[in-house]
Amino acid sequence: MYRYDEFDRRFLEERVAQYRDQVRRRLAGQLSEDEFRPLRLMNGLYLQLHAYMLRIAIPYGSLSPAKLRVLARIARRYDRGYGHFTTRQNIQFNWIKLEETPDILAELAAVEMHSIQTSGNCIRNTTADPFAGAADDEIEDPRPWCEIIRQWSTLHPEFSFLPRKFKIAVSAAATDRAAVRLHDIGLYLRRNAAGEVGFEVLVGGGLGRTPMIAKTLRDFLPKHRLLAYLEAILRVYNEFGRRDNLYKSRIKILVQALGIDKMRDAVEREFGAMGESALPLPPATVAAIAAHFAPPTLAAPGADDETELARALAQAPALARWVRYNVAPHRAAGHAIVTVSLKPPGRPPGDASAAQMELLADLAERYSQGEIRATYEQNLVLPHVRRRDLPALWRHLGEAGLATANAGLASDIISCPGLDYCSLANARSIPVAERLSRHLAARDQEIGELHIKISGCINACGHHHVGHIGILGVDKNGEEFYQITIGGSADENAALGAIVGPAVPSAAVTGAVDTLIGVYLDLRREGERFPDTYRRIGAAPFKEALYAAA
Amino acid sequence: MPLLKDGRVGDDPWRHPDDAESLPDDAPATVSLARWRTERDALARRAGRIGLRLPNDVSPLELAEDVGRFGLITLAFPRFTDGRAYSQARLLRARLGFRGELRATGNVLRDQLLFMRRCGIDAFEVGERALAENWPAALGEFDVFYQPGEDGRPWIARQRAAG
Amino acid sequence: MPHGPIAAASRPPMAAVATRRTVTGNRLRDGVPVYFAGAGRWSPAVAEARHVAEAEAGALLAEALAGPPPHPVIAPYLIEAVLRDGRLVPLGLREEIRAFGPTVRPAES
Repeated sequence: MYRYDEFDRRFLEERVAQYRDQVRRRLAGQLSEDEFRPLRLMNGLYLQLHAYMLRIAIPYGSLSPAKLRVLARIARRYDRGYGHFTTRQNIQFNWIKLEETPDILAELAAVEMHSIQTSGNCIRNTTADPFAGAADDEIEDPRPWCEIIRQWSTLHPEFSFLPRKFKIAVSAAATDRAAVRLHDIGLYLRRNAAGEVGFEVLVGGGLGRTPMIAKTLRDFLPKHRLLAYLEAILRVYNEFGRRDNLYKSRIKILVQALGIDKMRDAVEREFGAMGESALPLPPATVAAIAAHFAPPTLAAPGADDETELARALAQAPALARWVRYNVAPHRAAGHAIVTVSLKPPGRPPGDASAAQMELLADLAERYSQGEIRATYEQNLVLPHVRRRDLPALWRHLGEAGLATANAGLASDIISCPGLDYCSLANARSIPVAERLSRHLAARDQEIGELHIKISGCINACGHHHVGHIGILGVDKNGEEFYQITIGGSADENAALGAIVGPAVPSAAVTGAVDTLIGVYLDLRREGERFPDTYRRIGAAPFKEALYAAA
Repeated sequence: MPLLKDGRVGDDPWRHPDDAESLPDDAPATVSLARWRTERDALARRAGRIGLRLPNDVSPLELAEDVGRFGLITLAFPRFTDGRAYSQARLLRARLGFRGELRATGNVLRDQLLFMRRCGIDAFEVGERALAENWPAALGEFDVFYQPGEDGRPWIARQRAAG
Repeated sequence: MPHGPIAAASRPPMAAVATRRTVTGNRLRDGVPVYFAGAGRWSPAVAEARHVAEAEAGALLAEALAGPPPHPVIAPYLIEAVLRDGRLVPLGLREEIRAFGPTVRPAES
């Protein structure tokens, strides 16, 4: 994990001092709310329905035990004892007092964390593969590049007042676990014909009111030109992105208006004009950052590791089920990647209590080389677990309600906070998720992989467009209704879901999802996931079942 | 309007006549881009120094031949959220080598000054609050920067290389 | 905090009931939703809100907005509410949730 040097530390101290003074000026009446709002947003502080909400960056989803313990401490001391992991690998606290925020940021700074650029029309926290450095299907560890992007984008003087927010994602694996194609800029580390590793650069993805899948801007970018190329894209966007309409100001709209070829011409022209020496990334600089992400030294598996594990699995079907769904292959023999589900049936997706965070910090130290990751699917990951430790880890997790065996299954629902907390929402999300997960949990195994995603408004924080089943809350004359989409997907074959028909009232959502799942189960062929079946048979059978039944 | 420059708040020595007004004989004065384009040769022969009021939807690269003639280029921030002029500033300094005064006008807020300064803007049109609220101090709130800048201060790569 | 009003998923139309007006906003220092209680006072309890008929709403808002900066409440605004069993209940799900809290139980701490 990246450790700050003296410059990083000094920078963050300066940032906290600057923010402390901004809050002082606001409370003293020197700044109006209109003047203060962009300043607090640049530090991730929103005003929500019940209090301020502080969104803290978890850079590319990487956490250490010390960081997680401070998040637990913040939950206890400044909030109501819990936090909410978001769909962008960040964490939100819902009950924050403005007057305490400078102290919170100082506590975060002590463990090299901050909330810089978790809001505002600037470059946001970079999304990354939560399995980075452990996955068996990646070309190289993407995290050094995420850290390079983090530093370059931090208080970027030219790109802090963009037309709209700007999100970047990086993945180096065959399986896309970072929703790369749904970002303003997506970066896939690829190997070219000559065997060199570089970036495929995509641009113009995003959800919200006008969802779009990113298009390839460049097939192969040499790694050392990354920052110059990003800067060229951002400069074109800053100059030409629309500023007259909030809903048309993301880069995806610019790409759509210009067409990908003209966009490419504009970026390449700027990139060329910048010259070879712009924003250099000399090998020594990259190596110094990469050294922070050196793979942990993992013990070779013991001769009896697998027989021990097999015996434990045979004795405990619940453990076997958990291993089947929540444990993924690790590149190192005898090890595994564990997904810790924050989706117990009938509970708010993505919430973790202070006690759960502290336990996970302890377990990460004991079982996972001191590493924890946050996923955009609102779960946590212990990336380096020895397989023979899985039964013990599972028992500890179970005692804290953290061993739900549903990763990637129907009850593993993504949901935004919705109208229970969020001032932008039109309808509630969490109660819908709770009802659905309670209802579906018993059928998780029968249904298999299924991604249900719920947003409480068109801003789409719950990624509903790319859910296998997507649910969007809308307000119809003061009543909560939910529009359902099917066939979306957020992975390397990203696709946008199609609306199945008129929105349904809140009480009908669970039944409607049941009906859609029923059609899938009836018509799926061996090995087909929900979107595969949908692509083969189309929307008609789903629509018929849903609206003929009504 | 008061001008923040070189760490002090003072008066603006430049005049900014409308296109319909005639220019003062030898006092420094700015013109609109439209006027510059129509009266370019006459303006270039003028005794007093000439400045340009650059709108924020025109690329400074269109003025590559001309920037050396200006003692001042003003940049527009119609709303503080409209950040196009940050890129204009960087292009003027880094790409076109503009060495004159680069001035932020419009909705200039205290907490934007340092971003502007790092992009190469070295003068700021400010309101009367600037003195009372010690705006010059905003330029000194950081001495670590993660990007190269146009204000002569080192960025982190150089600081790290120096140990 | 009870969630009585929200528990009734579908509420009867309000047309027959004369609505009241009250002023609310979020408190500057901690973001808590508060209600104008009159005489410069703001309360987190909607029960303490001063409420008036529509015709007097403008005057109530003007009174709530008075005072030198910084105003203790961010951007106060008028909302509609009804008296139900003697209890003041803001109209609309958003305002109900602001007044009475989230309808979901958070993680155990």
